[in-house]
Amino acid sequence: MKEKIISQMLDFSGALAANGLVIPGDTLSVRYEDGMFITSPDKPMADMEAKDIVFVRKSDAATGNEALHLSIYGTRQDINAVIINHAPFCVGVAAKCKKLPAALDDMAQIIGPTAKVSPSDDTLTVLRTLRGRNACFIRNGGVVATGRTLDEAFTGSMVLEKGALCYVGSTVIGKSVKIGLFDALLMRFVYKTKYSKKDQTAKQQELKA
Amino acid sequence: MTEAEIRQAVKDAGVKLLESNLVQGTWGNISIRIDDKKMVVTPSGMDYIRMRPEDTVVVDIETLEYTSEVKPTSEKKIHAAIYRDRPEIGAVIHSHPLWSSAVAAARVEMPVKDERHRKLIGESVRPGTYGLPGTKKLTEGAVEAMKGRNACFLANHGIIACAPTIDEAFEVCKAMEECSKNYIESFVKKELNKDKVSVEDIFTVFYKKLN
Repeated sequence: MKEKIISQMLDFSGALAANGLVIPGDTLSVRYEDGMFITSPDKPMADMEAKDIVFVRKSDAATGNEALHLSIYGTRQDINAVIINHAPFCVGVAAKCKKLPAALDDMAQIIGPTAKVSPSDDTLTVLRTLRGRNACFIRNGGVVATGRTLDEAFTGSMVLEKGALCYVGSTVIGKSVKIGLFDALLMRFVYKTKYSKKDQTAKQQELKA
Repeated sequence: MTEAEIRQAVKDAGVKLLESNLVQGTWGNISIRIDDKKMVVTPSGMDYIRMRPEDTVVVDIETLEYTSEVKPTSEKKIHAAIYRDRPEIGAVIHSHPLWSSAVAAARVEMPVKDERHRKLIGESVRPGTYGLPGTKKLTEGAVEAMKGRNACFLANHGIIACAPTIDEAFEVCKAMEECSKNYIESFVKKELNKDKVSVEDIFTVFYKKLN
């Protein structure tokens, strides 16, 4: 299982870099036993190798990015993977807005009705901002995207960047019409409990096989 | 094409959409018409890499009935309604491309200026009525918006592209994306009086509109 997780982390590190979502210092992690595997912040995602991925126990004295990853796993049992990225449209929205409303159904489903902006990178503030959502922004600090699997956290990163681009683009040409709260919550409920359940469960089991 | 070849073509088109970043994850769906009565559609909630040709579902265009144990996409109604309304259409793609989705979120009609794009899409792209995925309202709105065109926006929900073949439908998707990007950039060019625009320029106009 360890080898499969590491191999998957390398694949998604490459995919994040190929899609222009990361800058030096960004990290991704996967929950494992009493801790997590995490990529080195000192290595660009595009060049990541197996030796750059380390195991960190929850009892270890972690700081910075590592501490944030561990705190998310400690408080959110539904999350098994975390990606910290600097997707360009997300960063641009986070610089001036308090939240990104879902203007697309896929964002409402995988992230939630909004993605909020944490005013600071203080761990508790970020955790509070992430509550009830699969992602949030950190003002001047990037994007935190999470998922039940690394695949879901990656898709969430892509969908959030598209959501940010849509908000910006639709505002530029007129007005961004956001999805109503009731519809957004309904879409998210259906996504979590029905639409994605089989696919995500199969992906979790594949890692264990 | 045999049914097996059509199933393979649906699978291949899904992978191509994903690799071209015209969809993300399990979103979006594809169909190819078998004949007047049946179509092959993508399954519900399965990503295109994992999906096998045998996971695609044969669905009756009139009744929406299917016999496989795999559930078809919840958007099968839109696909079937387009085939019923447009006998010349052989393939339908619902995708969530970046720039097209931005125009879809503004719910406006987009003019198609480039002659190359007009040949593929039509003279403009209209937004369909907003509706929850899989609903009659969304289906009827899409069919209406599609009249005389090969594409439409689904309000807050991406685009529909159709054509006689799956390869042509894919070209319509790509044309929609180019056209939508050009459309958004045209506002920025006008606002900043520039010939070329960067992401920073787009944000300059965005921040201005926020205030």
